[in-house]
Amino acid sequence: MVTVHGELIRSARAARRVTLPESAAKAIVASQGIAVPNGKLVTNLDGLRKAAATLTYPLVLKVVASEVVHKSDFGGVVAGIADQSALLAAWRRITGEPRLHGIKMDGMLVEECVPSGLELVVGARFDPSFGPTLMVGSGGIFLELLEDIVFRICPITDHDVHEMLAELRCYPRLRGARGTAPVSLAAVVATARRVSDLMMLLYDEVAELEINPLIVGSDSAIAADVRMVLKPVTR
Amino acid sequence: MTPTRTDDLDPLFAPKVIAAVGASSNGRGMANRFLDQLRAFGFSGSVYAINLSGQRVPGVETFTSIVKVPEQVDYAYIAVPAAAVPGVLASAAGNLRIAQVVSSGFSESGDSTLQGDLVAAARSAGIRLLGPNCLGTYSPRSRLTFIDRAPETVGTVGIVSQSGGLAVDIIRRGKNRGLRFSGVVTVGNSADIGPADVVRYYLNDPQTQVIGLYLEGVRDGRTFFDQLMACRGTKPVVLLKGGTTALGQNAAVSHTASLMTDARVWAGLARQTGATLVGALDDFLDALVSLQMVGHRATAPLERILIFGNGGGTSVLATDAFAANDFLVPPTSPEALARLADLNIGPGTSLANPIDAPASTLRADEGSVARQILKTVVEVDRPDAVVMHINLSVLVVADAPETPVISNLVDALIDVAATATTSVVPMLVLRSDGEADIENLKRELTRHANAHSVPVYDEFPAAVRSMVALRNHRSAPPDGSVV
Repeated sequence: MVTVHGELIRSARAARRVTLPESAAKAIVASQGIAVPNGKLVTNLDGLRKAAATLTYPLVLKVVASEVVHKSDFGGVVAGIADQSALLAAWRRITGEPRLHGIKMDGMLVEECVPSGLELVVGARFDPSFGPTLMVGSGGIFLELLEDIVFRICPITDHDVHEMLAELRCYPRLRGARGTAPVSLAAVVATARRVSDLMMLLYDEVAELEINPLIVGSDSAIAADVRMVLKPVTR
Repeated sequence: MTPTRTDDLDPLFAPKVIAAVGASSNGRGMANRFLDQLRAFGFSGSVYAINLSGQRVPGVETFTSIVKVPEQVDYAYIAVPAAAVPGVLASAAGNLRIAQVVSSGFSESGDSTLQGDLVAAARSAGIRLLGPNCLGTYSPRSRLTFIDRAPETVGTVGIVSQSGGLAVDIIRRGKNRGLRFSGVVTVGNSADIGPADVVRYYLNDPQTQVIGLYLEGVRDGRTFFDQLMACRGTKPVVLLKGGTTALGQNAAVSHTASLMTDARVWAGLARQTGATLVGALDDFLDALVSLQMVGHRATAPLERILIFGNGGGTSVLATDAFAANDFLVPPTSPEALARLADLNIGPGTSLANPIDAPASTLRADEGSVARQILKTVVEVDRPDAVVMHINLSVLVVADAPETPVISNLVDALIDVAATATTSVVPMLVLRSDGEADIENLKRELTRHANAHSVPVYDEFPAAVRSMVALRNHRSAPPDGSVV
């Protein structure tokens, strides 16, 4: 197993976590060549200030806690932070958030904002019959509502990913509809291939890997949020 | 694929020695019925009965154990209470190749202990195991059957079914749809031999050209997927999948102890392998019928459809149904129209595709005008497929029921497909009002068309779905490579 993956998964196991911290999940996909926003996991105000000095505003600040899956539902995300005073205000807002009270936090992830674009989901799941499967679809917070998702059995070819995208209801938007610029299908395909490859590498350990949203633009695909769920420990 | 090819499932499809375990002296058990079925179907190898408590089974040499049978048993049909089955296999060591365990009461009942014992007993005795919790195997090439009145003709369609009851439906209803089988295997809980093993057999079996599966779940999905990938572009596969909803999956767990997989993964698997995924028995049979009869005629890309028949509304609906599935119904070319101008075609006939010919045109010259239209357009425009539809009750004349017009039309389709210079897929839609005489006529015409390898459907949606099945198969490159 590639070292960075093994190290991060081992430490999550040691902490008896089922879901990896977002920062760790991002480090793993980044090591596979998937673009993630510049950012850093911080645990105190001093660390936050130092990290911000190396990043370009606007920033986003997110709580990292294993018990919080839908961060925005809990008031755990502040986006569009324009400067340092807004950053400190965001820190105070999240630490004072009543819905997060009593929840064990790993810290906060401070990241550069990803320019807006089309939101896709690219993920992989371990199926009890077929093993690693790849999922591509319309992403964002309405993933479950939209149900615009297609699957393939891993490993997949570029051709498979092109076929998957063409099956999506959002495909015309990817190709550029009503005067909007087309997104880089090549960047989406490359990301999906890397997710598939990563799952083929990690499926002994990983039950689910999900990039949602993958924000795609005319020349990029950036994993704005990554979730990685480990398999139950086998005896 | 040489004639000397051997396979560990050969004893299943062509057994020479069969034992029925669980037959009794009173003749009432499932194994007794199996013996009767073998006899009625004309199985020509040796047959033995096994009765564990030493009863004599009338009309057949009976032993208390498989190991006592004086020759090597290829196939044993086992119908004794579940708890006794592992012992039956253990004591058969060295004298049995394949055991089909029809007994139920294993993993499907929620406890997997007994099934574990069964598998262990089969392994250590060197026996391949089918089932448990299944109904049997139908192999017309060797006259092996598990149903009464089994169809005798050996065909090219190989079936694997996780459900025994559905396998019976597939054989019986399929027969009347024109399907002819190379084999039907019920695998039940698939404790040892699973769908992938039987698919591998069919893929290598020269008798099998089309593969159909009813599945609720597969244990070793990887092997199964790889097996379907191996079929891609060579032998078409139709997949009837049960348990695609949460409720259906719960039912499947207690039926065949199947694992749960997101239905969308199955859809993806079908796209990757070129298999056709369907969700209803009739759709399954429709697809198999088209692949068996005209699979070899389909060209890639299967795209341009010629529609010919009577009924304006039906023609419009037919065009919609094809267009909704990305087929083309291209207008008749000026060249073809110019040639048709020489014929004396009656009023009310629309020669643009869909060609809508009223009854008067179809009846003209006992159908020979219609034949000319069909022949000309197929010759000049070279469609990939030609679908003829006939509204039977409109054409049957009350005072002249013996009119040969309808059968002439069907013959015209048969001839045009047989003599076309480029390969064309013929399909026939025979529309009935449900009256008994019309249904009888439809049955006769269907039999006639099927005998000439022309598939027949009740309505257009079924014809369109079958066309999709042909296209799925043809669009899959034989080597699995990407074009």
